Amino acid sequence: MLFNSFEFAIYLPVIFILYWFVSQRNLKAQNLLLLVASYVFYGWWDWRFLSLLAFSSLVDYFVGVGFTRIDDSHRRKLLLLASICVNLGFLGFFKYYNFFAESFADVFTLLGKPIEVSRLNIILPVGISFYTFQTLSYSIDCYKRKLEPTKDFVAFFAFVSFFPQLVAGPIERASNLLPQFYKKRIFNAELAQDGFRQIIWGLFKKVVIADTCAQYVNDIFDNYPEYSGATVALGIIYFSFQIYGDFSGYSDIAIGTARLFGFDLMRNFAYPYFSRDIAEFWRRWHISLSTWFRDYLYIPLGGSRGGLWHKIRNTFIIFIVSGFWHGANWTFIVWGALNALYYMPIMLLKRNRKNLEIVGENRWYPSLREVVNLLITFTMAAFAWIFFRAQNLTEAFSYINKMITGGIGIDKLEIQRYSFEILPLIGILLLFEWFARKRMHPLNPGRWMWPKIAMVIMLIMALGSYSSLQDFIYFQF
Amino acid sequence: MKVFALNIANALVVVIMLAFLLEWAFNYCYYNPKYPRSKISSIKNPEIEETIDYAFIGSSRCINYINELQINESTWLNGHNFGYRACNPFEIKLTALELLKSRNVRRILVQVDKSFDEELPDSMAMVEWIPYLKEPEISGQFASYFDVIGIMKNLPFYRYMKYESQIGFRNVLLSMFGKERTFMRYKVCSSA
Repeated sequence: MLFNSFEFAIYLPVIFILYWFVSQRNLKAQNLLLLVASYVFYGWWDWRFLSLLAFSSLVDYFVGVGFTRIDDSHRRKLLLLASICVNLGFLGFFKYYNFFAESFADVFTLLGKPIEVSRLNIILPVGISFYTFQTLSYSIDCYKRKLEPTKDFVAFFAFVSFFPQLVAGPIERASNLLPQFYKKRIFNAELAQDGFRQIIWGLFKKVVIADTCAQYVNDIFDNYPEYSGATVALGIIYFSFQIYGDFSGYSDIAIGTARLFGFDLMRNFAYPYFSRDIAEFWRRWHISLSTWFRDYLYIPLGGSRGGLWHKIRNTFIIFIVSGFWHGANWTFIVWGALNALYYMPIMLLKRNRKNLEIVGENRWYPSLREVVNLLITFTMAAFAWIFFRAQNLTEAFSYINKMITGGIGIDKLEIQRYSFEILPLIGILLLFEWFARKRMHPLNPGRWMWPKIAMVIMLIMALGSYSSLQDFIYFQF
Repeated sequence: MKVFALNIANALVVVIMLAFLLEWAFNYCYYNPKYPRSKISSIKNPEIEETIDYAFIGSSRCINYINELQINESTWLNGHNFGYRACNPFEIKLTALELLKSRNVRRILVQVDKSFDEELPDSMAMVEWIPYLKEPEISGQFASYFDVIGIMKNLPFYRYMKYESQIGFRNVLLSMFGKERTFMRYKVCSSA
């Protein structure tokens, strides 16, 4: 079920009413309803994969129960290993098997001894990377005794499958979300209203910005050999806003929906295109994943402690693994490595914690120096997105080549729309977000709240893409 | 909960008011286009002359193979080519009825494809008629083929959202502030 679908527009109010008017009497009923609602939500896409979700939850639930009974460190380690193997095993099988098999065959082909490998003809279960990481965080936190393992079966299953963030995050830490399932939720009008406004803003980013950009991006990427260099460059600017609108829009809808049910999810995006360097960009982009890797990979590897080579190694590992998490393709690995390269000089000069406050704090406009820094950071991020969007490395390099050598004229696109039409919309997005950069989203309470809401609703109605419903990009990860 | 419900109600009121406002604005643009974006829109445009010597109606073959400008130059007649892509007998009938209603047409020439016995509306060609569904004669023609015609007709702005890529905001904007489309060649003839 997509957040921007008609089914969800019906489903959400029904669950909301049942939750606050029928199951509101006790905690068990609230959690049970959320669990059923989440499984229906996921099963709507493909019910067969519900067993995978249930099995993953079951394994981690019993691993948690095991931690409460076992004190021996060796046996605890084995238990954690079992959880990691099961979770990463599923992920590896469904997401990475074909990639490794093909890469293996490619190596033999390069050595002049081609071999045949069998490919698996399976579909990737939606959201597997997200809920796998979420349950892993539970097992690891329990193992480290940072979190008390739960014995509440329903609460744990509801935590793993919580429908607002099940398929595309934010990837919640068990220590933040699970305790919220232990307390009976009491309706908080302020939280719910803010959630509702955040849903509207997320919808704007998805159906107006991302889905409109998607049409231009698809056209340019599908036909880039025929377009000029400037149009090809414009294509990557559009993709930068498509992926931002798509994923941060999803996160906004997820966080807003969770708030309607009395939950507070972690923030996933903090206006990443208002970053002055790449380190700041990564503090603001997909925060739940970046911090997950920081907490469960970077720090266990030693983090920034140790020698220079240690730091460089750890930085490359975290960026490359993060790239690989997005998909089983060399393009994602190069995307990760490129970002690591961007990050390296800032880290070596010890300037990676330089821009911690928001840009242009206490000012309406950024300074000229800040504008230059914003543009440089955006250009670097946008350039890296080429690898993220391309189907393979050959296409990515060919696209870059076309961008450099293809001339400066702007073409009229095949989709019978002029390339410039989307630019004012991107301008509106940036303007709204610039003045809201201290807050979670731009539709905050105040004198101008309703005019702003009315304007955003009008833009959603008049300028949204509805004739071809677009999936969220991050569903495929 | 009461405050929250009130807020949701406010938002719904905003949505409903905007739907009516946008419906009115889009309808206005489709009935009074400065630069018609479709043949139907050009028929609806009150600026076009009332008497036409002959009119061609048909599919893309009609547009591509019949040069009414050449005919007009040779015959000194005032003719128009109202053919448009994927126009089936259903749309031909609608176009003919519309022409006869709003213009004094001396002769209508119809081109039909091999799908001449196809009575259903074409999913692509019918979209040009969607902005005019409020007219009972037009919605009446569609009613026998579509169950949802009532929703399309009565739910404000729904039809413009459903078919936004063809008749949505961009099309409306271009019909008011864009430039003349090349297929509207009759204008050249009329001014000559």
